[in-house]
Amino acid sequence: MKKIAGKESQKRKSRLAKIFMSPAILIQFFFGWLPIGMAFAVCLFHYHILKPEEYVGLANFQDLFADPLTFQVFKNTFIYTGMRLAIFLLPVVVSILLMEMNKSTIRIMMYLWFFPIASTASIVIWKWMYNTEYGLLNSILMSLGLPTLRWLNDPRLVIFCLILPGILMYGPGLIYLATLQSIPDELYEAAELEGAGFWSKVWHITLPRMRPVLAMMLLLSIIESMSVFSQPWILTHGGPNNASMMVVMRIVDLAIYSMRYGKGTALAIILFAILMVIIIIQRKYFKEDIDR
Amino acid sequence: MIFRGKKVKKLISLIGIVSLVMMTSAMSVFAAERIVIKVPTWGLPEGKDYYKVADTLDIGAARSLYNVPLFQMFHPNVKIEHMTWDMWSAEAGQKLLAALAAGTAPAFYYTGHIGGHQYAITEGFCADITDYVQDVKDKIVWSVWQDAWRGGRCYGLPAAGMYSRPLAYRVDWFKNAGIFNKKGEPAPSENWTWEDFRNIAIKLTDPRKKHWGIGIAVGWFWHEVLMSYGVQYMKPDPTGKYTWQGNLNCPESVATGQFIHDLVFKDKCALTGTEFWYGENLNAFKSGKTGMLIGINSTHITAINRWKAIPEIAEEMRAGKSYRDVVTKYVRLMYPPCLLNSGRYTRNSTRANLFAVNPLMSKEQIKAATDWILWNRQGKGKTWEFISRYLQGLVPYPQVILAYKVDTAGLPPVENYYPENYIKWEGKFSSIPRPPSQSTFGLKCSRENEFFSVLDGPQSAAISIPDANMKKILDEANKRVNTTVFNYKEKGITSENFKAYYNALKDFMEKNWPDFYKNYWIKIYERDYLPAFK
Repeated sequence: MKKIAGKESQKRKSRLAKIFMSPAILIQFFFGWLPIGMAFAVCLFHYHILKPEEYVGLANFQDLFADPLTFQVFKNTFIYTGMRLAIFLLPVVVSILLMEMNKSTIRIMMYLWFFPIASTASIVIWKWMYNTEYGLLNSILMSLGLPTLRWLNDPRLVIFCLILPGILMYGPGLIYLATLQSIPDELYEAAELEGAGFWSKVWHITLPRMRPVLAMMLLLSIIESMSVFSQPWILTHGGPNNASMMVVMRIVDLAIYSMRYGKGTALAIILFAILMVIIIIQRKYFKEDIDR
Repeated sequence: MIFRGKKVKKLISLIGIVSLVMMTSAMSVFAAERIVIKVPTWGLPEGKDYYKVADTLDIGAARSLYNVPLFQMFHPNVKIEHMTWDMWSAEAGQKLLAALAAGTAPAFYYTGHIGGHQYAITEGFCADITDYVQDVKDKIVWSVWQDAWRGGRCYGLPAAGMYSRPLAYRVDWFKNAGIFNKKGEPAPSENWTWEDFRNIAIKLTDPRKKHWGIGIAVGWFWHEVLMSYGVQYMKPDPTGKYTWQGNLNCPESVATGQFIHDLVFKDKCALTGTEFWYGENLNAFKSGKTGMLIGINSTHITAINRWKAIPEIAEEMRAGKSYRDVVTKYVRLMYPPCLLNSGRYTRNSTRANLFAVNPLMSKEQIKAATDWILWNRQGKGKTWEFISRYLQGLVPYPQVILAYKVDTAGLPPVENYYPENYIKWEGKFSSIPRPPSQSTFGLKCSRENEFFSVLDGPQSAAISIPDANMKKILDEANKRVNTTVFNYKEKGITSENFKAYYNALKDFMEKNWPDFYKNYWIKIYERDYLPAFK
């Protein structure tokens, strides 16, 4: 009798769980899975808003692969992502060094890190800092007697110029600081008793303890860099001569401004596929579990 | 003050309006089932606030409010509902497309933000209103209305007035640099050339003062130079395999790129850069960094509000001078850049924004929406707007050159409000001959927006890369256009359409610009257009 009652109660719980979960699943379906599924269909059409769409098969993909700009935007995006990843560990190192300082310094640093996150406004300020004629950076170079640079107008320099505000404005340092604060002090004390130095503690305690966060942040950093839009859009609009045109900018350009919805969606599908491959590789080789 | 005893007249006019409303209300009781249209409003208070403002003797708000019952009185089967709508912002296009897809767009809208009127017609965003505009055909200026027509059918109406987009320049800078025309005025000569322009820009430039002759916003300068050569961005495909081919690497286009490149890197007289867009260009002029500006709307009222922000000008105005003596003046650009390129205008002629009527409505609603537009642009609604502006002490005609013939009987003439030279100047602009529109010959290009996005690359290269090889860059861009954008055939366009259009254009050029035609343009015609229909 008890067993039957237990089963019924479990069934009721399961039913209740489904009811509570259903709004979230519906939202996920309509605003997540369905648009992705529709994108796979739209990329095979010349899509119109009021007129019937025309099936074109893989013509949108053919057009994209015939366009040298497609390869250039991927090249630009990979360079940008590579540069971002090259400096990925910089905030980690800064955070670790900060942990050695007193608590008030840490708190001030957290505020400073948080300030520039009002990103769009900050990017507009960068636009003026980079201005070749009356920008702050060239004024500093001139006052030091150094030759001025063309910053955003130099195709060789422009992607680096996009990275710089990204480093300062993106706030992973906060997340690292929070993670570092969550590592129990006892571990460090025990290591010190064993005679471990600063770098030894970092290598054997701090970094392994941070691994789940680092794995997640690395993944997010790749996704964010591969889909970068606002910085180059506001600063350069893709110029000079498409030297800073990124994949998502090209998608927006095609799908929104050129109104080639099918072609824009086809490019988004290609980006989606590349990101999926990167994520699978990352999940396979970068273990998050501290104890493995 | 334009009108004395304003308060009394306000009161009288309000009493008149209220009586009209009462009459209308009474009539509406007996009205049959009515056609409802949702008309867009912008810049007006919403909901109940609308009535509150109207009740505070604000004649402007009252006019807007009581304009509806007045219209309904003359169209008893129509019910107007206001719909607050973002008509003009940069995001307006995306909002409109979303609303069209969802079926919630207003009764009419501006098409400039959704790829232009030609694209809007091609995509079916514009209802056919031919049958409802027959009575006003001779009351709308054809030169600006023609782009709303395709194949003998009408798909839109001008929004209101006409604009010209000339070059604005700093009179004080011209004086200081000793640049005077034959009459001794600080101005460029009447028939100036691009070489004159270059020399003036160099003279106005002073690196110590951080003064530049001209500001070049990405993409805002190319059209003017290119089209003064008489060429178009695209040409018919001579093989007939596709409809269009790019014309980005023709000698004139390369010369355009090189001219702009030289202004920036050789003559060093242009403030520009890849981060320098329309807003930055306007601000550079307003903040006294540049002496000339291309690409602004020229209305007199806009000029007063904009140019008095310039510090030196504000100072002189505070000292009692009229802004007209010190502020910027306008001048037209080089002839003959008055060609149209698939619905895109050069700045050296008048233009008008175009409205489309929502095609998702019923026939009756489409007619009602067309009537409403005409009522407010040409009919009694417009006359009433002029009168109410006059009663408020405002300039009754915000645009001097109207795209519609409006009944303004009883109102003082336009000369009472605008300086004489301004009216003459606007008149001169509106009299610049306008070539035939491609659209009226059934020509269209449904991938025009994608094509223009390709042009962004060479345009930004010309102003930002010191060692840019413009020929190579434009060759590459043109190849891209032909292999990935214009690799299709437009339905319903044959060589006959091309023949009819380009021959009409030929006649136009021969008639209006005979010297230019003989010495220059006929060669372009034979090189770019004739092979497609020979």
